[in-house]
Amino acid sequence: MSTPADHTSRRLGLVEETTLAIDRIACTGHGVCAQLLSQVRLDEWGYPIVADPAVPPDEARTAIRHCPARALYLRRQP
Amino acid sequence: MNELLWFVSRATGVASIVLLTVVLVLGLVTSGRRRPHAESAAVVIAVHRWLSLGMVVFMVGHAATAIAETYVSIDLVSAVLPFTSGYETLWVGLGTLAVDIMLAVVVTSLLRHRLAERTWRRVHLLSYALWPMALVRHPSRPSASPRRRSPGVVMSLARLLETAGLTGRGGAAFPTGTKVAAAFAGHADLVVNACDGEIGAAKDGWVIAHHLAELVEGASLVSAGRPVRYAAHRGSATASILAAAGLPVLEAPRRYVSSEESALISLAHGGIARPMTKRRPFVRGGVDSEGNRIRPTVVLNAETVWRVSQVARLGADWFRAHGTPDDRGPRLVTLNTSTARGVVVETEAGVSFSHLLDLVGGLPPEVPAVLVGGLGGSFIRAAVVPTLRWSRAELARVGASIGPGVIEIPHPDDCPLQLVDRMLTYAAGESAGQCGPCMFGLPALARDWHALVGGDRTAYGRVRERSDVLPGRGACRFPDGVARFTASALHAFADHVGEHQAGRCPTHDRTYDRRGARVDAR
Repeated sequence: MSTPADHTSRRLGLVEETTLAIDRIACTGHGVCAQLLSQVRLDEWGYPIVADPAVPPDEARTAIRHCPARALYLRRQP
Repeated sequence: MNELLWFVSRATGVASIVLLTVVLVLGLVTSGRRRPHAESAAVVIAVHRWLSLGMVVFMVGHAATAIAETYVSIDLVSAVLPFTSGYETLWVGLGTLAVDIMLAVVVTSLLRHRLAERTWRRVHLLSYALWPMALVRHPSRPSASPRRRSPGVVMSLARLLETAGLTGRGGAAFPTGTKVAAAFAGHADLVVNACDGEIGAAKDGWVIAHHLAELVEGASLVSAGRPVRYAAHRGSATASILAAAGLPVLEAPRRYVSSEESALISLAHGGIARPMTKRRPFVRGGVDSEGNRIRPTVVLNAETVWRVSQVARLGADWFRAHGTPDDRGPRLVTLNTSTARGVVVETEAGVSFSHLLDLVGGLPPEVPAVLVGGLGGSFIRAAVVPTLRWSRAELARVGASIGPGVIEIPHPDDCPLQLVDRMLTYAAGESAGQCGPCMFGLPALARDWHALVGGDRTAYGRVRERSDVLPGRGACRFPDGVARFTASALHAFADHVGEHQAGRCPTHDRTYDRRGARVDAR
């Protein structure tokens, strides 16, 4: 999964480790993210529970684009 | 080490500018109308070249130390690619651009014989741009206050606080030196949190009542001329004292979450006192839920700011002489019992927990557990209290933390499950109502706990599940605190819960006789 080129890029600071984060105030429980991502499930009121924040970047970007409340974003790992 | 890097970074920067000036002047002389001839020309050109190489060395050292020091975040990429740094994007970007141009000039000069003269000349002319770029990289920052402190003074304060080991006294225990440095780097406004927001807390008000002058001095040191406001609950004694002293007061409504860090920042910027989503620390500025920009603002607990003034006056060594290596310095604790409320004492990490309880009459034998940290804290069983010390590590072993330093000894005749019931009912009403998991989860948790108190056997599992799924799902840490509080109650009062499920209450049986009359009042 992680090639030598990925490793070099990380060491040079050229890639950012990101995780999927939710703006909990903006989130109104539409549940689209749970439909798109296997790492996300919904509680009894329809709000997301993120079981595993490590979501592949392209899947994360799709979910971010489709959230009706624009409540998803990528958080940079320090 | 970090201070050394900071100094070397500044020193090499200055040396580079000095050398750059000399190199430019010599270059001008060489190409001017009254240029030197013969031997003097050779000398001037040679000095021009050698000094420019020296300048390269100092510039590389400057960039390397600026990347390596941790007070400001400039990574390797932004040191080479202009305008990619998160810190002071424009100014650091100019510096990076200057380095790139300088490298281009040097490389083309070294390879001059391989290049067309025209190419070399054009690149070389770019070096005229280096001088203004290098100089304007450190503009003097305009400030409303004439008492603006120099960068050196504030950065040395940050280093002093780091050496002293001062950490936040509001509950999160974040290193204060780092926060002060970040606040300065971001030109952040300061909010001093004197709200005593946790249930049973009184130490912030105590600092305002007894050490206001030192607190104001500390705020002045930290803010370095930027605006300061003092947050207190509307109508509180603390707010009155602050207003009477003529200090700018930020009045927070009497709600549990209104004194949360981002809630105060929202309030300070004309919004409502409700938490905001923190995409990045507000010390670097951010946006609220509606997209309005929030100026960089930093919130520090009142006791923390008071300690800053003490460290500045009495020194880091004085501070380090108190406490333990992990939790340095003197610290305030608020003690509450059924007869004495809001007793504030000055203590330090490492003291025996029993000693603190003895200051307010000790732990009665009928009390099953002590509450540390209020609604966001944990219950500690009476059995482990004698062996415990007031320190982060030891409290962590029993699932608790120092937090804002609030200790409550419940009334011996108060059924602990009823106590938790009242607190969870209160918590359910204190949700800011912004995030679904909290807005719906806390009332559901309170209902299920109430069923548990009533002896419902299925309620235990529901309470457990609800607490497990609360943390990390709100904009602030309020639901996390309530979840921790509930889980600790389930653990500390497990036996009592079993009794309730069997239809009995040990506290009630002890305090009421068979006919339902109270046993001797305590």
